[in-house]
Amino acid sequence: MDPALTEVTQLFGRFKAAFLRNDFGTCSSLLAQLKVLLTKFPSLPPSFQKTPNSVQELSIAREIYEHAVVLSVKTEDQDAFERDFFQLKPYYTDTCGVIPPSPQEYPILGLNLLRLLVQNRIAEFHTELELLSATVLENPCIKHAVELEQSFMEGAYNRVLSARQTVPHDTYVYFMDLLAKTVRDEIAGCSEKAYNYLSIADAKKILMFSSDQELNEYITEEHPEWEIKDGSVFFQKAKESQPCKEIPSLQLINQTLSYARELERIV
Amino acid sequence: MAAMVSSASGLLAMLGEQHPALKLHALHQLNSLVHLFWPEISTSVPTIESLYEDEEFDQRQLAALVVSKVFYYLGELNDSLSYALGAGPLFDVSEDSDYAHTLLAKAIDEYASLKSKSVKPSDDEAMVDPRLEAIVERMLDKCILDGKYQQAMGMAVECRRLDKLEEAITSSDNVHAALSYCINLSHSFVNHREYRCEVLRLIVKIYQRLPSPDILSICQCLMFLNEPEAVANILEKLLVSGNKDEALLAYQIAFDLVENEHQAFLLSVRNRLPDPKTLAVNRAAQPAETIDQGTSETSSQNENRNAEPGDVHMSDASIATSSNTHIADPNEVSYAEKLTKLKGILSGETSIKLTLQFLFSHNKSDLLILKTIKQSVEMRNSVCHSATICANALMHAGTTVDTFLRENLEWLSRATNWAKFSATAGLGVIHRGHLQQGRSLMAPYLPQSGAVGGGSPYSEGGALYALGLIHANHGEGIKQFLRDSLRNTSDEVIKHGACLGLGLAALGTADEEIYEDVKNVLYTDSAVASEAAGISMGLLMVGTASEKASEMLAYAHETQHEKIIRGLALGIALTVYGREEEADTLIEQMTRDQDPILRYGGMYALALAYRGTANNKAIHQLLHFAVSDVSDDVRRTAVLALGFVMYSEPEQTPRIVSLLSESYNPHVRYGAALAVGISCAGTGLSEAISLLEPLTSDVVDFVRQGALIAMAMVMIQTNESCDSRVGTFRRQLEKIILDKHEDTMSKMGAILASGILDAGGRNVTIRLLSKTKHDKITAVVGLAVFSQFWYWYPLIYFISLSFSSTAFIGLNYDLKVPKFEFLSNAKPSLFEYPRSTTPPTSTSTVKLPTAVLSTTAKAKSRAKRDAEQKAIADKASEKTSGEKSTEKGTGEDGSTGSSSGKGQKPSEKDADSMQVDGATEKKAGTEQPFEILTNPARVVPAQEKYVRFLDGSRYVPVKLAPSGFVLLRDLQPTEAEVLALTDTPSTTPAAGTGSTTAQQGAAAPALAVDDEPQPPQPFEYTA
Repeated sequence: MDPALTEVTQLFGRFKAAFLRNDFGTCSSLLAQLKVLLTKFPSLPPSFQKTPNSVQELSIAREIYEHAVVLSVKTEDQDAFERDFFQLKPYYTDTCGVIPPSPQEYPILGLNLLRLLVQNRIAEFHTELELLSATVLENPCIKHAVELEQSFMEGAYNRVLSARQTVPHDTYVYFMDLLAKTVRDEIAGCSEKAYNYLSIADAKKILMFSSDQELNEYITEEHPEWEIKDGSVFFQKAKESQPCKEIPSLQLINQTLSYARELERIV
Repeated sequence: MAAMVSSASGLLAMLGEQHPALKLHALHQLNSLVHLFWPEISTSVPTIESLYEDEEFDQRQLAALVVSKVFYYLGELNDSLSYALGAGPLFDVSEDSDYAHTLLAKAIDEYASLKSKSVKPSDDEAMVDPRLEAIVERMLDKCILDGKYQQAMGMAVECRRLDKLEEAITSSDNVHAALSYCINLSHSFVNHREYRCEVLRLIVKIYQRLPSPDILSICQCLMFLNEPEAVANILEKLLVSGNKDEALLAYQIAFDLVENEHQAFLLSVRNRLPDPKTLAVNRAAQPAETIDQGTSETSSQNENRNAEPGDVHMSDASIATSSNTHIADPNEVSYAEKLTKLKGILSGETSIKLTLQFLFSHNKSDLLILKTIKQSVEMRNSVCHSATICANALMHAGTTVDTFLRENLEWLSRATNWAKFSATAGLGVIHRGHLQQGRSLMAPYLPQSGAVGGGSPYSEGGALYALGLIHANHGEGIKQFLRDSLRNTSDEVIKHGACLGLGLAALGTADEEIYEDVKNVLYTDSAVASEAAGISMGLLMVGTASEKASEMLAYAHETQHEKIIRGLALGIALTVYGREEEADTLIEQMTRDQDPILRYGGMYALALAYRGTANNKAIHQLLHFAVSDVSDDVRRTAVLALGFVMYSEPEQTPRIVSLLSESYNPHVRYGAALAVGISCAGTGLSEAISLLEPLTSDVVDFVRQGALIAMAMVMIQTNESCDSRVGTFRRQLEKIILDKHEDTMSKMGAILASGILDAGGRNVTIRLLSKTKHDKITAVVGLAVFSQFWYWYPLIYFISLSFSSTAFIGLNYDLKVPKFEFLSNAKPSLFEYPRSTTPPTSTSTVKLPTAVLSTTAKAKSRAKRDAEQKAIADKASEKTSGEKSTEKGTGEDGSTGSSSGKGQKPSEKDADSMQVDGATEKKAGTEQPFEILTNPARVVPAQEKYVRFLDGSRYVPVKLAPSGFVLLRDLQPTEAEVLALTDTPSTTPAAGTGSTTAQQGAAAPALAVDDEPQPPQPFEYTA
C-alpha cells in the first residue's frame, strides 16, 4: 500500500476515534492535516488521474469529507459546513462508476438542503433540488427537506416547527433549531408590512415568544427601528422612509434635445 | 471511466480553508481549470483578489494570474491586464493561447499609447508601468529570438522603442529586407511626423553601418528627412569615384528623387553640388553656348545655366572643344561631365524631356471621340463647348499634339471671354513640360510688351496661366517673365492668369519677391485677380507652414469678396500641406470660423495637412463636419477631403464613404463621389467602381457630374478586358453626350470624364504617390485645386499636374534611350490600349430612327465640312512635310496601327514593328500569355507586377523597377548602341528651326490680329 494512503488511513482512524469521543478540538486539527494530505492524491477531483490506488483514495477522501460535514454540524459552524460540503460534492456527482455510492450521500444532501432553507437561500435550494432525480426525492432525508420548504413557503409555520419531532437523522436537529429562528424572521418581516402596530401580547404570540423579556431582546437585536410604547409595538418607522420620487425633468429635456440633434445629423 | 469534474465549487470552497497549503492547491487547480469554470469562478473573484492583496500569502502572483484569466473571459481586458501585470513572471508571453495572445496585444497597445502620450507633453517616462514595460520587452526579445523580425520591428516602431528596433534590424538575417520593410512601416503606420523622422534617422544610421549600403534607399530616407546636404555628399562621392556603375547609380538616385517632385529639396541638393563651372573645364565653352540657345531666357540666364537641358546635350561637344584649349585632366573632365548630367536630372528637365518624348511618340488618343463630342454639343452651350476644349486638352496633355484644335479653328473661335481664357490655357496642358519652347509656343497669345492692344486680355491671361502649366514645378526659367507680365498689366484678367501661372511655376519655392508681387495683387481687392492671388500665394508657400498664413487669414476676414475669401482659404490650406500635427492650430482656427468659406478652407487644410496619412483623428474630424456643418459647401468639401487623407489606402475609402454616398444631401453625395475618385484614382478598384456606378445615374445633375468625373479618374488606363464595366462606362458617356435632353451639368461631367479617361494620349495615369510611397506634392496640390472647379472652371486644368506617365524608360550612361527588351508576363490584351472607336459606330449612334432635327442635320453637314477640311489639311501637311500624318492613320483607318510620330525613320520602324507584332498576335486569336516590350514602353500600374527583365540581354537595370526611369548598365560597352526614341521635339539644331518657325507662326497672326478672337495658331514645331 502506498505510504501516503497508509498515513491518511491511520490519521483518519485517529480522527474517527476522536469523533466518537466527541473531542471536536482534536477532530478539527486532525481534519486540517488530513485535508492537506489529501491534496497530494492525484486521483482526487478535479484532476481525477487514474492511479492504482484511485478507488481507495477516492473512497477515503469521500469519507473524510463526509465526516468533516457532520463535524461542522456538530460544532455548529455553518461556513465550515458549506466549505466541506462543496468539497465533498464532486465525490457524489462526478465519481459514479469509480467508487460505489456512499450510504451517507442522501442524509448529507438533505442536510445541505436544510441549511439552505435555514439561511433562506431558496433559489439555491431549488437549484440543488433540480439536480436530484425523481427517485431520490422519495428518500426520507430529502423528502423531509422538501416538505419543510413547502410548508415554509405556504406560511404553515406551525408545521415547520412541529417537523422538528420527525427528523430523519439526529444531525438535523441543529438546523431545525435554527429554522425556528428563520421562521420568526419571516413572520417579523410580514408583520412589519401587514400592521402598523401590534399589541405586545399579540406580537409575543405571533413571534412565538414565551415572555416579554424575550420579545424585547429580539427587537433590540434584530429590529432596532421598531418602537415599543403604550403596550404596543409600532412598525411605523420602517415605512416612513419612502423617498418621494421627483421627475428628472432636466435630464429628460437634455435627452430629447440630444435626440433632435442626432436626427439632424442623419445623413 | 474518465471522470470529469462538473463544477469548480469544491475548489472555490477550498479557498476558504485556513491552511495556506490548501489555498495554494485550490489556486493551482483553478488556474488549470479556469477556461472551463470561469463563470463559476467569476462570483468568487473577490476572494481570490483578497488572496492577491494578502501580503502574507506567498503565491500572490498565482492568484493574480487566475483573476486575470477570469477577467479576460469576462471581457474586462483592462482589469485582466492589470492583474496579469501583477502575475509577473507567471504570465507567460510565449504561451500559445487566446488568453496570452489577447493580453499581449492589449499590453502592447497600452504600452504604445502610453509611450506616444508621454512623448508629447514632456518626457514623463515614469508614467509607464515598469511591469508593463517588462512584458513588452520580454515579448520583443522573444520575437527577435524566434526570428520573427518583422513582428519585432512592427512592435518596436509602435511602442517607440528605437533601441529595440535597431536590435531587431541588426540581428535579422536579411538586414536589407528588414530595412526596406521598416521604411514601409514608417510611412504607412507611423502617424506622428517627428517620430517618423526619428525612425528614418535610425534607418539611415543602420544603413550607413552596413558594408554595402543601399544608397538608393538612404537617399529616399534623407529626402524625407529633408537633408539635402547628405544627399549631395553621397551623390558627389559616387561621381568622384570615376566608376561608371557608380555614376549610373547616382543618376538613378537623382531620377528617383525627381519623381517625388519635391522642388525645394531638389534645388538645395543641386546648389550643394559643386558647380561644374568652377572646375574650369567648361569655362571657355559655356558662355557662348548659353547665348546660343538662351535666347528666350536672358534674364534668368545666370541662375539657370546649369539647369538648362541644353547643357546635357551640349556638354559633350563643349568638353571636346574645351579639352583642346585647356589641357585638362581627363578625370576632371569626365567628372564635370557627369556632374552636369546629374544636375540636369536633378533639375527635372531630363525626365520631363524624356517623358515628353515618350508621350509624343506613343500618343494614342482617339480623335474620333472628340469629334463625336464636338458634333453632339450644342454650339451655343458655352459650358459644354469649353468642356470639350478642356477634354481635348486633357486627352493630349503633355503630348504636344494639337491636331484637333488646328482642325477646328472656326469652332474654337466660339470661345469668348473666360472660355477663351480656358481655351488658351488648355494649350499649356497640351504642351506641358515643353520647357524649352513653351514660351515661343505661347508667344502669339502672350501680352506683347509695348504693343498696343494685342489680343484680348482673356487670351493673354490664359496664355500666362498656360505658361505656368507648362512649367509647373519647374519654373526657374519662366518666373521672371511671369513676374514682369504681372507687374506690367492693370487688367484683372491678365493678373488672374499671371498669378496662377506664377503660383504654378514657383510651386513650393517660397520665393519672397514673388510673394510680395502676388500680395500686392491681392491687396488690390479685385475679385477676379485677388482670388487667383490667394491661390497663388498658397501654391508658392506649399508645405512651408509659414507665418504668411495668418496674414492671409487676416485679409480673408477683412475683404468683402467671397471669391477672394475662397481663394485665400484654399491658399492657406495649401501652406500647411503635409505638416500634420503642426497644422492643428491653424486648422482649429479655420474650422471654428464664423464664415463658412473659411471653414471650407479648413477642410482643405485638414485634407492637405494629413494627405495620405489615413490619420484617424483627421478622418474623425472630417466625418464630423460632413454630417454636422450647416453649410452644404463645407459638408461637401469635408467628404471630398476624405479622399485626400485616404489616398495611401485606396481600398479603405469606398468603405468609409459608402454611407455618405447614400446621403439625402446631394452635396454630400457629390463629395463622396469625388473622394473615391481622388483616393482611388488610377487604381481601377472594383469597390470604387461599384460605389460610383449608382451615382452616375443620380437624380441630381451635379452629383452625376461628380460621379462621372470620379469614375473616369478611377478607370483611367483600365481597359475593358480588365474590368468589363469600363466598356459600359464608355458607352454611358457617349450616351450622355449624345442625349439632347441631358442636363448641361452632367453633360459637362461626361465630356470631362471622356477627357480624363483617355488623358495624355492614354499614356498617363493619376498618381498621388511615387513608387517609394512618397507623396507627389505637385499631383496632390493639382488635384486639390482641381476640385475647386466647382466654382471656377479654368481650374480644371490643374488636374494635369497629377498626371504621370506610365512608362518604363531605360537609359544608358549617356542618358539616351537604348534599344532594350523586357517581358510583361501577362496577356497583352489585359493592358493594351483601348480600341479606337470606328466611324461607322459613331455615325450609327447619331442616326437614331427618330425624326432628323435641323440641328442634327446641321451637325452632319458640319461634320462633312470638317472631314473635308481635314482631308485637305492632311493632304497639305503631307505635301509640305512629306511625312505621313499620324492622326490620319488613327483617325481614318481606325486601326490599331502605327502611332509613332513624324521622325527619323529607324525609330519609327522600331515602334511600328512592335505595334504590328501586337496586332498580328491579336488577329491570330490565340493570345500569347506574355508580351515583349521595347524600351521605352507603356507599363500601366496594374501591369507592373508582371514585368520581368530577360536574362542575357545586353543591358541590366541598376534598379529592378518595373516602371519609371531606370538606368541600364551596359554589359557590352564596346559595341555600338542602337538608340530608340531620338525623334522628339528636341533641342539640337531642330530647336533652332523650331523656335524660328514658331516665331514666324507667331508673326503671321500678329498681323492678322484684328480678325477674330485668336484661335491657336497652326504653328509648326518640327520634330
